[in-house]
Amino acid sequence: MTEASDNHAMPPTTRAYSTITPSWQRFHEFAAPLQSNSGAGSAAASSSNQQQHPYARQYSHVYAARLAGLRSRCLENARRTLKENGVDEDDVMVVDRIIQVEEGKLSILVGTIVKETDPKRRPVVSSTYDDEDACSFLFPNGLAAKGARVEGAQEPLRAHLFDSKKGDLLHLEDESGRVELFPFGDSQNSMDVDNADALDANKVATGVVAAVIGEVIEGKGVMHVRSIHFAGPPLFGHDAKSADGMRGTLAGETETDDPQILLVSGLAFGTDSPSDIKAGGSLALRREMLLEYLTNSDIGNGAAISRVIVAGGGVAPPKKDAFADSNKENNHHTNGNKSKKTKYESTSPMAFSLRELDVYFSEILSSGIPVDYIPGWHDPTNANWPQRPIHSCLLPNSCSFVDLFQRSTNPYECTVGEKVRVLGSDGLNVADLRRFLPRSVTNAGGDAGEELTAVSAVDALNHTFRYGHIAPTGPDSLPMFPSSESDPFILNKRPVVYFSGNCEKFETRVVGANGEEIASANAEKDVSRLICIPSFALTGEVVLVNLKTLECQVMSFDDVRL
Amino acid sequence: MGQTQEKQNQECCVGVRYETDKMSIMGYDPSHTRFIMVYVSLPGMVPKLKSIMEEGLCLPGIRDGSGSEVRDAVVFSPYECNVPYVMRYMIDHEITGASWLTLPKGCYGLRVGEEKKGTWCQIEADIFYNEIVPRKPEGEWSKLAPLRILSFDIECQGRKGHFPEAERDPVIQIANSLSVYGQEGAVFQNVFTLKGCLPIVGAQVICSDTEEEMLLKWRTFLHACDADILTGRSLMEKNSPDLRIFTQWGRVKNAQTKKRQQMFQSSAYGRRENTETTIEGRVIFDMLPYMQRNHKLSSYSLNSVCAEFLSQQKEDVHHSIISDLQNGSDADRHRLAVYCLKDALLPQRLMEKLSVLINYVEMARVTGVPVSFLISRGQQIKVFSMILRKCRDVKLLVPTLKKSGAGADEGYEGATVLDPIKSYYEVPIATLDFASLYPSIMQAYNLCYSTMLSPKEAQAVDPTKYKKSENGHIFVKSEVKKGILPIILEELLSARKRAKKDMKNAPNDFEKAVQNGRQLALKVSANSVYGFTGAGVGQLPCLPIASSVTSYGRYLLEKTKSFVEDHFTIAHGYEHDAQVVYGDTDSVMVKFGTKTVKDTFPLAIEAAEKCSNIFPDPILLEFEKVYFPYLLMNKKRYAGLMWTQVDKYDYMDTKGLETVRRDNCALVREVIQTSLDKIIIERNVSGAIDYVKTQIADLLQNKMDISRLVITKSLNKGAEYALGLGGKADDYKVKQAHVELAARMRKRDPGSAPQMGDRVPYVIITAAKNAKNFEKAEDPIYVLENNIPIDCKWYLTNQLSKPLTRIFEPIIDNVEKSLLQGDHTRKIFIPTPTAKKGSLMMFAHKKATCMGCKASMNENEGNLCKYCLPKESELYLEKLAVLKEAELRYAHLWSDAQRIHGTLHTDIMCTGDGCGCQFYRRKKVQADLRLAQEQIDKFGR
Repeated sequence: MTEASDNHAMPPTTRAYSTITPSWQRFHEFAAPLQSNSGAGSAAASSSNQQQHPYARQYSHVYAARLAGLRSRCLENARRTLKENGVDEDDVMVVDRIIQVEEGKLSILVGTIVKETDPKRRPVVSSTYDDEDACSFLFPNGLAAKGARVEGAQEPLRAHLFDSKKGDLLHLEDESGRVELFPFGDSQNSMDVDNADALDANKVATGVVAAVIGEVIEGKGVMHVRSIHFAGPPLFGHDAKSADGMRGTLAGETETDDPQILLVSGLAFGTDSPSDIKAGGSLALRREMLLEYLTNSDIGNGAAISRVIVAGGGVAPPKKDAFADSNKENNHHTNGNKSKKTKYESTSPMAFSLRELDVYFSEILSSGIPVDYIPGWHDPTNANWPQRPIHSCLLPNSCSFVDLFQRSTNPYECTVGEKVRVLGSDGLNVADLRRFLPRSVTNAGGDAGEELTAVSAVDALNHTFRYGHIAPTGPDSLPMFPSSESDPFILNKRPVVYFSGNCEKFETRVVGANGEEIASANAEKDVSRLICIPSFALTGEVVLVNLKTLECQVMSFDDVRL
Repeated sequence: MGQTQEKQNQECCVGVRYETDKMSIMGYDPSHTRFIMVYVSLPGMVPKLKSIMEEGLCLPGIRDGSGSEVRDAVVFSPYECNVPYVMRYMIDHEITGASWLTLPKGCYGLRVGEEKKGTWCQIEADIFYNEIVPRKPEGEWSKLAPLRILSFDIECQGRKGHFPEAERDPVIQIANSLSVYGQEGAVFQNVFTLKGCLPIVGAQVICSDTEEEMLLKWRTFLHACDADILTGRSLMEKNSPDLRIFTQWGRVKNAQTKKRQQMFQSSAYGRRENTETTIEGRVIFDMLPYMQRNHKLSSYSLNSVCAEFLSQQKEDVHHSIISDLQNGSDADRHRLAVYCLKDALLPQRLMEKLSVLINYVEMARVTGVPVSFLISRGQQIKVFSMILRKCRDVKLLVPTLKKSGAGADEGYEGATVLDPIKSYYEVPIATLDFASLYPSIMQAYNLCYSTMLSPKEAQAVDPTKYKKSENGHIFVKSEVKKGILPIILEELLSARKRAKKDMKNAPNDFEKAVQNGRQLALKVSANSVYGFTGAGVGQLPCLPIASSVTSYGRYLLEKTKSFVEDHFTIAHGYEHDAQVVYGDTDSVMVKFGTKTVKDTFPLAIEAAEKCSNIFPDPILLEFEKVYFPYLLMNKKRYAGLMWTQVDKYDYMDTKGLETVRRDNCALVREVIQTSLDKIIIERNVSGAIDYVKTQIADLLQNKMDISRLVITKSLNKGAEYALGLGGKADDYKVKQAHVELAARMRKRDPGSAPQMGDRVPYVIITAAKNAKNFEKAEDPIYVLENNIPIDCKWYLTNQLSKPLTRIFEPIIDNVEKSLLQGDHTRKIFIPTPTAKKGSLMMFAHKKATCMGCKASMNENEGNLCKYCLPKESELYLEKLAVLKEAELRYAHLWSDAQRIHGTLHTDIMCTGDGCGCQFYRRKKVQADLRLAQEQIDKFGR
């Protein structure tokens, strides 16, 4: 085992920052809106509210709620930029509805970005009902086998959806209609274009709410955009509780306390099948090492860890057994029984992995470390965001640690130690957004030309921060619950720690008030720490975050070096 | 026979001329050469005059050769009395349709000043009719004028429960889109709206307070833009708002726009009801009949036509909400206006895309009829025009035959179809086609009105001068006297060759389109000559010609068959004995016995050449394609993979299969298509059989997606009675499933029930034994909501079994037993319907059962029995998988629908007819989700 930092003080007996105030319940409302805990009650309730059933709604409400929630913030940012550039506000018309825009007049429009991607790149809804289709929504069937190479890793997402370098066609939409957006001709000469604010199709995706400043060209119906402004992250101080600053010392705690939370994702239980001892076996070993680190005070530093947050990927994605597949194919027409049997078979490995996970968690919990479990894409819960917490019957032992074990929704949000707001997800939002945000990389061959690849995960995470929205690509490409009154994914309160799970590698960044990158966490007060948690199954790494300094530390559990 | 000068002429007859240099077209050697040509003052007098002359005149004082007075009435036989007035003028002055005219300098006078003008035209001139110089459409004169095309769409505010009619409902919006030929896209767009409307980017919005004001404004616009061609969706669809609102659409001032209902019958297009509208000086170009004539589609609604050809969908605003939108805010009307504008734009884009205009113009030039004739009339007029023109050149006259009722039904033996040897051929089958068979037969054997000999006449003629056709009619050889029809055909076909050559050398796309339109027009015209002679109720039917053509056709086909089978044998040094497996009208399918496409090509080319040599010129047998593999199911029913080059196949060609018809549910189309793909392209017969079995099993186990079982039919005439909206009982004699369903839905909820003109979707559900089909039809949404079991057996026996049997018959023995019965049909699943007031399930007592094993339980014990409780997590996971799948399906379908309809912020209102947004699957997933969530919620948290 290697430890990134070697001079650790012995842990105090009381866990600092062990108190948390979870606020993810607000997500839960959207995930299980019927408020039905007893079976008999729910049947009656749901049949009487058949009209109000949330899934009888359409997705338009989501966008409406999102636009309503972010509009004023976008507008504010746009106005501020104008002011900074010395433009008189009276010269610019603020248009309430896109439809009312007048040709040839400099105006501010606020709406939802629609990025038209090549329909051929979209997966086709198959005409047959099949469980596998469900996954093909995001994950191509064919690639599942390839993904097995790196067991437990999040499978590669569907092909990137961005187009050529020049970018895709953009529209801005609100309830009243759409207008096509086009970057302003020569941005060099124009008066007030700050490069960061220039319209770039490669920096937005469908579903992002933005304010654009520009004018509609006469007769063409196209808006030439001078600058684009997002809602941005909310400022600190919106939250009354932390009005006095985010990272002070709590009363009764000394400066020497070094409270840390441990972020891990992609434990990927269920990969330990005997058929791939190599990959699975070593993963099991790594997990044991992590457990030892947490629970054995001789080796590790468990006492300094106030909380373990598991960001998705507790169990491995269901494996597709090539043999079972072909078997199913062959026998499909002759039986119905058999197909039912295979269904049972497909769930039972999941049950087995869950039991393992349950035991693993209870061992951590029994040493007194609180664990928060955020479900991920492959975890056994519903699919549409926000995802519900894992059902208690699936992790019975862990659930008996009532005070220590928290099953959270995905996304996750809480305030640790009454101070530090932590927000994060299993990482699907970031992975999906990345499909729409290309960046060009120079080919290895040098002048052979550039090719497009997805932006890095931390860039994408940073983008969501700037958009003021956790998952802008939903429900267009990220499966999402059709909420109607409000959009739960709007960043209303500023998180200090903002993470995304299941990334390929560890990345982190400190960002300032408007989501801009800042060199050091201590340079300013109003900063947030963005963290991309590497998949444990992929890298054997976990992230330790010091809640006071916001310093991050990667810890690697690598059996090779053992 | 009729020409007029000025209308106010009191005299009916303005002149008579005695003609002796003309002959009748009928017969080889008509003796009769004396005609009188009568000039009357009005075109309407011609038919009257004709009937008077036909009945016979008794003229006192007329003496015959011997000097005695003729007491009996003299009967005249009429010639060329049935030529439309316009065409008469054009023929006499050699003007063809859609061609250029020159008004020579000094011959005309311009009318200047609005008050002097009698029309709304931009330039008005007076000229004598005979001073106009026509230009043949060649060279410089083959160019097309920059015609203005106005496409418009009128929206009416409908009443509840009725389809909007312009006669009764106020017009609320008119959208216009003006384009000019030769320029891409619309030149100008605007919308006239009743009450305010928000501005539309790219179009002018003109608001009015009253309907009258709006219509007046629009009329001003109409006259100002002075379009040559009018088109639009309003004109396209039946029962739609039409031209009532104006009486003055035309260019001629004070000329009424006339409209009349017309039954249009043509052997080529079938029977259709049309509304013929005459607008002076403008051509109405209705896209609907055009599409129906030229393209075989499953639906001709604007939406599906555009999806097919423009790959563009429009948002379909159902007519029932138009009223609500109109009564809403300015923004609502804006939405309506945008929709209306798109409706106006689409027909125009369709015209552009399909180069409709250019094709029609070329057809008009080739055949010499005005463009409007091509739209409103059938094929005959074109051939008639060509015959009249040719006859005028060679001084022949065309008799006006009496319309004989009996003759209309008199049939003759048509084309032959060689008996197919039904099988699934896994060797290449070569297809040999006769190039333009019927026209070339008429040329080769000189078949014409003017070359025909009656048996009696034939006795007087030298036998070497004529030839007896296969069925006994006698025609003079072309060396003796060349027929009119062969001359026309020769000209058409050689002109086509020229056009094809010009097309290749065309400098630009426009020119290319012109030449392509020309060559198509020439081909179609050549082929319609045969039909003209055979049409029983036609202008100049001549069954001996038509029947001789077909008899020669049969002879040629059989001759080809015997030649190929005699010549390509092992005895003649070929590797295999060739076999003709099938032949139809003008093509034979030959199995040469070769194993590869590459080996088949040279043989087929050789066969085509050798056959052509034994036939008289210009009959030509061509080798076009090879089918490999080839599934021959029956006469006119086959499928095969088509190869026109050796190395790569072109596509799968199918004939006579119900893959496009909408009467069938999507399941049938899919199953047929997929099994054919598997058989023909993948050549995987067992795979196809497995696929079919899986589908049948899924159907019987209720796993089938309901959208694939939906059948749609539209509420047409007659349904009014059933729905209690008036109408006559006579129109509705046989109860139809969709009409009965619509009536039932109306009782359930009049608001959402389908209206007249709508397409009613339905599925067949299980019902009491012996229930009639119309009792078993049910609304798919209702079925989804109430979990009503679908009658899977019905789908199997009534929908799937026939087409499946047809396909698989040549491949496997005993299709019935192995495909439609058997193990895979044993397991069936019928869902329990939800209790609804009035249904039988209301009497059933619901008892709590264990979610795991269905054992009955007490109410308070929770959801799992004590035996299943330990398995709670497994059971939960199982239900979860269902929920997860449904959730993802919901997310996928609904976000896809948003993308298709191009809106994130407004609800999708599309009800899915012919739309890619999968309405029923979207509805179904909502029901599925509700169920799955209920189940999951029973487990608590």
